[in-house]
Amino acid sequence: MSRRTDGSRPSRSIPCVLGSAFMVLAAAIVAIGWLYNRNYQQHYRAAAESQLSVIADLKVADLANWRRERMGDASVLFNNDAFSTLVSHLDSTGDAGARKQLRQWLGQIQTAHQYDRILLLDAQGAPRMAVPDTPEPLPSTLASDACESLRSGKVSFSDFHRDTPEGPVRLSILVPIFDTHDARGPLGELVLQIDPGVYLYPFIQRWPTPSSSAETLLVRRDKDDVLFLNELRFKKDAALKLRFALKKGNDLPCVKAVSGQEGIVEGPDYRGIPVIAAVRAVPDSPWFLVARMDQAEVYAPVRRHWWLTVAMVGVLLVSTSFGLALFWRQKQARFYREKFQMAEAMRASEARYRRLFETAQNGILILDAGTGMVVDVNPFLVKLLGFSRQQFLGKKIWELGFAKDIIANQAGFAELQEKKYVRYEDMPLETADGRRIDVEFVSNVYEVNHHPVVQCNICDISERKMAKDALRRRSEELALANGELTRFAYTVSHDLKSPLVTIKTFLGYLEKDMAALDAQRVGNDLGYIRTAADRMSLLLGELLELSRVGRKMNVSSEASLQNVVKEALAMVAGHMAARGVKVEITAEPIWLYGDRPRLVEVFQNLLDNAAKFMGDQPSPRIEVGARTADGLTVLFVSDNGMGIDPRHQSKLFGLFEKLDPRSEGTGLGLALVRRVVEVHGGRIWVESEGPGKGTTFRFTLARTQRKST
Amino acid sequence: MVKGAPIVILLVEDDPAHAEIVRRNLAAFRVANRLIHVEDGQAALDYLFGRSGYADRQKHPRPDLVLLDLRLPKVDGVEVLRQVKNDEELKRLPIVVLTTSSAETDMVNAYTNGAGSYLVKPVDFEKFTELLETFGFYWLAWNRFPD
Repeated sequence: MSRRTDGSRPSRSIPCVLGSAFMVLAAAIVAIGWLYNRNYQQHYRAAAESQLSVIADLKVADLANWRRERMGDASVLFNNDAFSTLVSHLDSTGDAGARKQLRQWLGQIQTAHQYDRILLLDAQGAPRMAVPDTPEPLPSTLASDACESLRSGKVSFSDFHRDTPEGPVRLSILVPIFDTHDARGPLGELVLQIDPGVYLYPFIQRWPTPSSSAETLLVRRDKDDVLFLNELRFKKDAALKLRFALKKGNDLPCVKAVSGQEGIVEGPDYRGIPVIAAVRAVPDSPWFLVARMDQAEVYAPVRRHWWLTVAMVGVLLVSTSFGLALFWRQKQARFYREKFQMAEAMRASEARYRRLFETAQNGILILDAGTGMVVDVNPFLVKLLGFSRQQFLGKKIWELGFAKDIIANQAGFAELQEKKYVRYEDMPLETADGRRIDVEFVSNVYEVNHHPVVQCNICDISERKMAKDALRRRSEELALANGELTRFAYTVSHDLKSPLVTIKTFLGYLEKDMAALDAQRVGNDLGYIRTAADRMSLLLGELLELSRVGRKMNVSSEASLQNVVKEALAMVAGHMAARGVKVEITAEPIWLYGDRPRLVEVFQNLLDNAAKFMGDQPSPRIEVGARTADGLTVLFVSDNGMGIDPRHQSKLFGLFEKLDPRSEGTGLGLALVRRVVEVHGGRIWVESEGPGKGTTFRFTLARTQRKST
Repeated sequence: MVKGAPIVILLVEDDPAHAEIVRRNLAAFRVANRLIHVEDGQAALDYLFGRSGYADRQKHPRPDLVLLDLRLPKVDGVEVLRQVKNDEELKRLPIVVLTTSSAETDMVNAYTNGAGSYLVKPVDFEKFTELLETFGFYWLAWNRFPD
């Protein structure tokens, strides 16, 4: 189970990262928007400038052309023989034909070239002919201009002017007429009057593309002023009336044009509104052309574009922030989902382990490693030890006392903790009611939330141990029985073979001795054979008897020691009486439990044995009684007879073992006694300090009780 | 041993019938011998070590050869072997085991504790007689004993 301990940290750091990311993105978006807009503005401005320049160039070229054409018109008539002749004819003869012809000619020029009026003056400046012939008076300035022209003898251009302050604006071309045949002086002056309103002004004002503010201005320098020559789009009656001073700081485009600048300029126009203008000087004239457009109009699309860019940047910023917010939300959602899932997994895991803890068939004790305090205990241990759960909780492990063999005190606990892992295969515990149970004790130290805990697992091995002990006892018994069986088989084969060897060998001797008719030896041989056969019969009978012990049991019953011994004594009464043995039986009430006839046999054999080996004891005595040793009742049959050499005591209970080969019996008696005692869950041993010191047989029997009836 | 003197054999045998068989066979043997019979292991040790009434070597001469049964009262044959072979004086004394037991453990025990030969009593008159004759021939006629 892994745990995230810094659960809230990711959600706190993410907004910081996202905020920074947003700032960077926003700055980039704004910068890109600004650069894009600037680039667009520059591009658009360049396009506008180029448009203004192209228009200005076109118009300047047209104006120059127009002027050349006008001067061309004049030069056709200047120094023209035919024309001069006609004019001179008019002067000298008053020829009506010449007049008519002249009028026709001038009329053709006037109509073809859209002149307002063509005047023919005489050498003094008096009008002689006008086409068309209007009664309009001759402007005063014209006469002086004409005189000036006649004096210079050259074609001259009379710039925009008004003949009267409120009169129409005019342009005039003055052509002096000389007689080409004799140099008598001038014949007159031809004045080609142009009304700019007819062609020039519309031409100047015409703008090739639709525009709300664009217009072309024609200006010239008039002393220290700039004089507007044409009618304006936004100001009525400005021609030759509107003027601006040529002074420093006056950065109107027209001022700049007159000051000699060419190209694109900026500045306020006559209305004071900022404009962009292309300024040019018109060649061979005092005119300057200004093609201008309001900055507002030029930049209107740029501004629209700017707003569009701003809107786009705004949209981008908003969507970026939305995107980031969405990302954050998702991240947040995932984080909480994961946290939730983790918590769910933890809960499931906790439930699983809790169930394991609650249902474990082993005792589990959780201790705080620092204090040794019981933190938790599972129901199994509560049941096993018989303490209540409350008795466990909050107590220090060594205060509880049940585990005093493992953790007697705080030092013991410290040792447990230090070793990290401790395992005792078999330790006693004391339950609440004082019983001792055997357990396997395992303790582990591990960390929970960075805090060390000690977990003790306690497994009740009482039953296992009992079974193990039983198994060990059983296997010991089996080994014993097996050994006994081997010994038995060996003994039987040896002891039964022995008389057989005797019988067969002496039968051989018998044959020989009979052949030799040696009656004494035949008798001897027969004696050996008979003895051997008898012994064999006895051995077989006793073996059968021995094999019955433990195999064929009578019903167990309780009997008093006194009764059993008395019964045994009755069977050996002959021996006892013959040797004058005195038998003393304890008066203490002792109760034996088992196969009564067999128990009688035990005492019978022991008493008989004692009587048999009294030796030369003058006052033979046998004592039967019981002592208590190590909580066990030990019965004894003690005599004051010949005793047994300690060296020979080990062979005493062996099958068919006899210490005295000449003694009666086969050596089965004590082997039988041992077998009966063992079948009754007891043990028998002999004590004798040596020859002449008497012998004591001691034995135990299961379920022997010293009690009064 | 004195040249021409009879070879002294100590027979350790608890069964009087078997002792009689050995006695009869050896008595009939042409090599002079003297058979001394004891009935248990303790008596055999006492005799060999000259203890408990056997101290008089004139009356109870030291044997040249021991014929030893294994299954004996008081002290068994293997123990007799062990004590004799552990004694500096007696360890050169040849001991021939004569027993009814053909058990492997008995044989191993006997040889381990210094038995010179291991003979099993046959359950047959002719064979037993032949065994004792061969034994006599080998041990009394051919075998040489140290002085």
